[in-house]
Amino acid sequence: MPTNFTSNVQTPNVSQASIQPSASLAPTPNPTSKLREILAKILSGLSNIRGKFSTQAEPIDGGIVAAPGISSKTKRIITIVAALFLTVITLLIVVTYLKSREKKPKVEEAQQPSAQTTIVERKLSRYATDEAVLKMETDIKALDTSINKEDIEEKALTPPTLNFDVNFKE
Amino acid sequence: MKYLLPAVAFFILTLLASPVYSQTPTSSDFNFDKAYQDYLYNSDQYRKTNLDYELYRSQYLKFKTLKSQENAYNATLAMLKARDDTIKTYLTALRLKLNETEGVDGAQKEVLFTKIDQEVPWFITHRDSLPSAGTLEDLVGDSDEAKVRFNADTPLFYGSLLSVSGGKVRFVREKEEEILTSLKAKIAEIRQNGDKNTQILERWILDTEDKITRSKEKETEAYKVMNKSNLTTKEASGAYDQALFRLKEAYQYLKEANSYLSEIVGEMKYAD
Repeated sequence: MPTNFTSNVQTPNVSQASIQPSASLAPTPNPTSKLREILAKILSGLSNIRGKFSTQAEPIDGGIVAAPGISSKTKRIITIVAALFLTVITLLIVVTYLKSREKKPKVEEAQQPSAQTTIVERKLSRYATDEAVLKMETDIKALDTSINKEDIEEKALTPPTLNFDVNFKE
Repeated sequence: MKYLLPAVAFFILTLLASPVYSQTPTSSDFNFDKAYQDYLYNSDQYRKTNLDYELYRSQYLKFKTLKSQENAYNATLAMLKARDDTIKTYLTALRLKLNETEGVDGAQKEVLFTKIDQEVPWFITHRDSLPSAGTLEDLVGDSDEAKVRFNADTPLFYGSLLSVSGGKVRFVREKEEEILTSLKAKIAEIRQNGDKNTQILERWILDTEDKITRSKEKETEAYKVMNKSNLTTKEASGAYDQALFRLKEAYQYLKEANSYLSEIVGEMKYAD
């Protein structure tokens, strides 16, 4: 018969002496005695903490209830539910991730226009070294320089501005 | 030994004489650059004398004293002389510019030279005839004479300037026509040899010829605008601006034609 522990929950009454090492061990001059002492203190501290977090059902009719606050069956159910919950969450994350991966449009790699222009190597004709052609080329270049240098307007020789209004009338 | 001394003396004298001779200005030494410097100097002198004239004129009109009248007379005389010198040196510079610019039409040049050669002596004579003593009214009369002459000469000034600009355009056009003739001959030779397709080259030649023809048309238009008779000073200036604009258009066509010529030669150098 399970104990109705929700109404009879009590702070555990664990005595310090029951978990502390016996006093007969303390005076030994052994170098390990100090270590033992420290370990004992740690253990006592831990048991204190445990006492604060655990519950114990009040014994009915002076009998001792060995079970903690939550029964093992309930623990199992909670564990199963938690495991199922975690599994479902994990599955959901995995499914969402896979779906998003499928739907994500492929980033089209913009085709960069190639910086290199195709240089078509043309074969020189036999006129490339022709004397007349070379002379024409030189003449055209010289003329081009002359055209770009020359300003056809003669700005320096615009007619002078002179005063012809000579009179001595007020 | 008898002839050695005179020979050495002659040699030394020749050496000494030659630098002196070389410094003597000859007509060929007097070019546009020198004439232009001359014009700038006289123009500067004129500006100074004109400032003096303005100053002494206002003093005379204010005080009407004999002293202020004397000062006004001298300042006006100096200004009129400097003004004549400025016009004379301007015409000389213009003449030399016409003479030195390649491409100016020979007949056109001769007509302009004749006109300029009549005007330069007129201003020299006018300057020399200005009385060193007289009345202010005499100087006003002399100034008005020069004014009439100068205004009558204005179309000549602008006509000469247009001929200089037109000469530059014509020079480039004639050079391009020469090159075009050589190119045509070369293309004909290539066609005969049959080692290159000349169709593209011939088409480009036509495009180049078109540019040159358009340039010629603009040149003709420019001279038509300027050659209107009996232009006043103001009209001459306006006509010159319009004519110059057309010449600039003509020059632009020639620039493009030259660029085409360069492309044709470039294409000729490569095989099909």
